[in-house]
Amino acid sequence: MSVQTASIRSAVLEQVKLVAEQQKKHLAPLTDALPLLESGLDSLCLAIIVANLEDELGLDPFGTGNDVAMPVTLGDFIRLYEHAG
Amino acid sequence: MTPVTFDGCFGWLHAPRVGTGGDVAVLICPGLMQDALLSYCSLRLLADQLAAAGYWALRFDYPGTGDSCGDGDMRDAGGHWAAWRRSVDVAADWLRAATGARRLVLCGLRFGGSLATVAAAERDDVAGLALFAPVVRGHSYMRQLFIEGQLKSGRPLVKDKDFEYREFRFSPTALAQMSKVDLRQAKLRPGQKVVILARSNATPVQDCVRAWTAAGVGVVSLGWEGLEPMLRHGLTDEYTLPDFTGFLNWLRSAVPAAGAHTAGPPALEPAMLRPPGCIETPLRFGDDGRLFGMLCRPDRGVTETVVLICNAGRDPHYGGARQGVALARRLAAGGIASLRMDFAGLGDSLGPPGAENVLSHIFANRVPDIHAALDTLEQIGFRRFAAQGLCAGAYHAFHGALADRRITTLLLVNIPLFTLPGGNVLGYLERRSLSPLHYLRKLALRENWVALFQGKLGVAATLRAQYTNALTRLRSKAHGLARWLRLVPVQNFAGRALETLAGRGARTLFVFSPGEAEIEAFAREFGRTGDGLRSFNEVAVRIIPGMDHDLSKVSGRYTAETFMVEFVAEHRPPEPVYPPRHRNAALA
Repeated sequence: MSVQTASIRSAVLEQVKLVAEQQKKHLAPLTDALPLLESGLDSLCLAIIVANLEDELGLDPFGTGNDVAMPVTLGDFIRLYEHAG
Repeated sequence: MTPVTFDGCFGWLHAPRVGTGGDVAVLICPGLMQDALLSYCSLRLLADQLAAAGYWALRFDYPGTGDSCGDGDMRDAGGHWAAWRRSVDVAADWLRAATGARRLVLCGLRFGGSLATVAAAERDDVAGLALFAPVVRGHSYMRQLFIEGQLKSGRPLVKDKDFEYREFRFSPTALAQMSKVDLRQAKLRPGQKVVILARSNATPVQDCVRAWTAAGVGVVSLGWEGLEPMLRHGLTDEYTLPDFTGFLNWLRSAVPAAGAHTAGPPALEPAMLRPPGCIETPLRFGDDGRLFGMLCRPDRGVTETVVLICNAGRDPHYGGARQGVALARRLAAGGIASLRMDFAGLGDSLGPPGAENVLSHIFANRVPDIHAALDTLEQIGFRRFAAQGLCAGAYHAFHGALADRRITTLLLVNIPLFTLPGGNVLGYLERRSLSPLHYLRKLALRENWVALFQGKLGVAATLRAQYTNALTRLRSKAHGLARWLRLVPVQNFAGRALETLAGRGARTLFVFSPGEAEIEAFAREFGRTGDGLRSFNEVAVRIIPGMDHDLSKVSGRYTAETFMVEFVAEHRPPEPVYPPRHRNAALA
């Protein structure tokens, strides 16, 4: 795992925890296999996480103009950002 | 606080006590959509505390938001950003002219912080700028709205097309304008004082502090401690409003209010809005005028019929996605008046003495407030009364009608329950796992996700939906069996209540979104298709395809409004040709 990949992963996880805390959501244990559907996050949380990650990492994988397959699991979500990095 | 209108915008002016300060005025720029709804009472409290500290304070709604005129499509006004940016200047100029203040402090929350910062950079009368959880980069904010819109609609949004989201329709040009906003580029003036109160010390906020400090601006970062209720409060609790002590201390030190305001409140024209086809006037009522509502009347003819629009949850009177405003103005177009009101402790209505700074519980007893509203409307000259509500608002409208015989028409949208349990209601609402409201909210969320991930999670979603269907059917059948075995009363509260209402000649329209969860409480009482209502001639049930629980989608909302307007208008007797009694005096 490269340094950049590791830092993107940790930034994503940090935002997930931060936003869940701000929105008072109870998070399931975070693993790559965790379906976002079951994570405890709602649509607003995910939208805020995407906005925050754009601010923090300068990455906007949903705005590339390509058809982005929506992530199903937390691992998919992290990989989306790693590939955009 | 005094309601004011200017340039089609609605606002509230909070005056400092005579003999204190007065040469500095604070213009409060609210956030948009959910940010505005959540922070509404907090900003009222902030304005009150500013006035107590010797500052004039004005809070207002941008065009096309809150109670102000305009709809969600600002094409004719040059796009949303241009219209809102211009409205900040108009409000600032109005505030200075009305109060005589020489200097301004602009105070913005979320996207209001973006508008306030750009205005502060362009005006020469802004001494201070206060930013609460500001949106620093318009691009990431718009991305947030896009993602949320996509999740809510369950389908990808199409690029280069209008983006319809809640009360707004953004054109591609409008989106591009808003995306371009970047506060790190704002050229604030040397000597201006800035305070940033951010939820986290994110990189863009740090960038702003560095850039502005380098330009000679006095920038202070305060934490978010005590401010969380501005942007978050749970559904089923009472909430103490934020603690603004840190901000007020900064303000007194950075931009002290000097001079001595001696003249009392300025002489202002009575507040009145003229959206197309309507006349809207603010109305204070109840003990000491502690309650507030916006009276909307057709601009032509007279009507004796008025619809009381109740708060949904804790949303202020204009409603989430402005549904209260939209319904009021459509009713007016149909010749019907309305009062979109705030219950005590919500929106612009004060809580009871001693609890003014507490957001009241969504299931607090609202019957006294409904009585007070009807008393006032009757004094004005109205003779026929309807009550409308969404979710918790529907619950209150229903109970208001039971308690007040003057209400003869009910419009109940997604009513989540008919009765609350006795004892500890708060505890019950928090603990229950399968009660209607909780169930409904969880499932509404789940449906969004399932829609988003359809195709990839199809099997899981189908199984889950089947499980839900089976559960609801099972419950309904079990209840029916229990009734047949006389294990539960043959007719429960909801049935008896509807019988009481029908006995008075009251008419009821139930409106539901599609989905098992939405209709669960109703189905338990009357069956999924309303079979249990056959003996009631004056009850109608409509399930509206495409309508979501909180009416945030415009298509479903529009259809629901149409049904409601038609239902009120259906049995309306001819309106009188003479002005109703008391009207002129009461509205003068």
